[in-house]
Amino acid sequence: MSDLPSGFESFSASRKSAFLEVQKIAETQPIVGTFCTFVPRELILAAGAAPISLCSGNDEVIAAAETDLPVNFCPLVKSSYGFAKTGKCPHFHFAKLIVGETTCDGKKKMFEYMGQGKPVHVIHLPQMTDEESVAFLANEFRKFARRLEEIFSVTITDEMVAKQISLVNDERRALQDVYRLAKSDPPLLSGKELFVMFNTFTTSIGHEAKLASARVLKEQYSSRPAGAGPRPKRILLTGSPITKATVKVIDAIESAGGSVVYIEGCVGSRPNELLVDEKNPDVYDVLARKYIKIACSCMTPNDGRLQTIGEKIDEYHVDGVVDMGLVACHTFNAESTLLREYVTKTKSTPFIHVETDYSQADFGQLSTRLSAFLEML
Amino acid sequence: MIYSLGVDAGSRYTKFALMSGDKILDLRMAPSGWNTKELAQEIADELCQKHGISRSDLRITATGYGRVAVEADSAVTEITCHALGVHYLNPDVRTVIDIGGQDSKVIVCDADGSVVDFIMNDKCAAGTGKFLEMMLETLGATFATLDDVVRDAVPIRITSTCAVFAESEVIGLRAKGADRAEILAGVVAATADKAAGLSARVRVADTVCFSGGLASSEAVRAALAERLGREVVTAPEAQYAGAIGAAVKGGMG
Ligand code: SF4
Ligand code: SF4
Repeated sequence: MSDLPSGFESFSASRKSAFLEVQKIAETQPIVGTFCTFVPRELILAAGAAPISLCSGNDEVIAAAETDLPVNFCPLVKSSYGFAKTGKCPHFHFAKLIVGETTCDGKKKMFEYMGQGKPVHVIHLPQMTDEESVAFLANEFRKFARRLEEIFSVTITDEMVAKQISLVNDERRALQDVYRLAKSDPPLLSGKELFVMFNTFTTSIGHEAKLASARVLKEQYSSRPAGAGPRPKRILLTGSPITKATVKVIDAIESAGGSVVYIEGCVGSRPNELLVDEKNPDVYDVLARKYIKIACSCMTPNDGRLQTIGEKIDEYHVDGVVDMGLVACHTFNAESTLLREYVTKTKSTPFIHVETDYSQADFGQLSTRLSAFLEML
Repeated sequence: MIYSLGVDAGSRYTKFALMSGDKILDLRMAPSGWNTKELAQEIADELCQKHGISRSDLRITATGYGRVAVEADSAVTEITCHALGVHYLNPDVRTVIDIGGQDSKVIVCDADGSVVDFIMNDKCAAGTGKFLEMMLETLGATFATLDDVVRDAVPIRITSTCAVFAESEVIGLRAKGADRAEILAGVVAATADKAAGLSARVRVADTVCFSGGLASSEAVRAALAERLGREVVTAPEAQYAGAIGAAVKGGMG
């Protein structure tokens, strides 16, 4: 028990059991904590480690984070850092390495603080998507592989990476099989169910287990009777990552009679829509090509996001687009104006931007806005 | 005969509009108090009695901040209702600026009064009725006399729109001996600025209707028209726009 955090005894029963569960996994396989979908899980897996997402969606640790970080940082950064600082996140606690990336300024600075207590490797992300940037990212991925080799005393061969590329692609395909069921009209699964699935996958470990649970979900949802009653308004949700603390946006939409049929987000379809090319033997190059296409607002320009949203509006027969920006997430909030133009003008689809944080105080306001938006459709 | 009662449960006042078909039979307003549900029931009973309506012939549609608390046949957001209500009062209007107690909104609607686009202030109270009320209180003035006090006064610029900071700014101006009427005119200007700033994010049509709790102030209306560079109209019943819209909605089907 000695490797449990000092505050362990004071934790709630569910948090205690989460710690014990992760401890068990950590005994057989080193855990690598990640915060962003730009981090290539394939390389971590090739090193024999288990990648696990740490973005903790909860406001209970924000006050602790604010003693080191500015109050007007985005809640995602504050919550992630707060969990690390207070020792309340089991994944962070047992992680042997934390992988950072230079997405936004808040995260860059957070990783510097985190590095004081744990080994942190920061991947330098390019900010554009041209050929030079692809080469740059491929090189960053090579450097990351070297660091993994060092820490875990392994050798990562190209064959090992290629094998993981194909396994992770399988996982993405399995997820696609489930989330694409929402194309049916009325949808076979709700946005809340989509969220739970995506969220579970970012914090779970084990290839076979993931495939199996995707299969179960697919069976469960596809055997549902085609919905009767009024057809819900079909919503595409996009913006900053949706976490447990901001799932209130989905709740507000769905309790007002809408249905989120597509989540264009990092806990969502954004990392799963594109596969890594399995035919090209230059594994670092293909990884860079796939990851650089993640349509995050930290890239400039980020036309890929508009393009994806445009395609999905058609494929999923979307009635309206909801863009959720976290308070102080400058890049997503700034991109909103561009997105609004594109969605309303080019795609003739109604659009609303809402800003929120990890507190639950604004639920009433959110729900008025989103209900009014649905009434408008 | 089916009668439609619209109940607009605002943060400060609850407004009622009783309609029969296209006709408004009665308008009422009462402080929301603690128990909106009871208040709504009381007034509904009263109106039924007054107009000789049997309760079973009354369809209640609730809207506003407290719409879920009201026992109604259906609940519709204030956005949809304000658009319908203003459209009822003035079918030429395509943009509604509503400044309520807690929030401000700008609503763009089409020729049928259906909402095409809207925007609401975020969590903060800047530019809302609450903001104005706090400033009035600080300056020992009332909303009822606001128009008289600020008439012909040259506004002093209030630089802060946060309700809390603006209050200290106003206190500071007072301490420096600034004229009360001029500070108040500045507060009116700041309120209009904030609403105009909000409307910059949607496509504002030529004729704008000002509704909500502050609509009865000519000074605020005029300041808004100046900021927007457009004609801003209002109606004597503009305060009831939400309730009227709810009644219209309830009478639709
Ligand atoms: S939104 Fe951008 S920075 Fe955040 S997890 Fe996704 S890719 Fe990473
Ligand atoms: S939500 Fe925005 S500000 Fe926050 S970490 Fe992600 S990119 Fe950075």
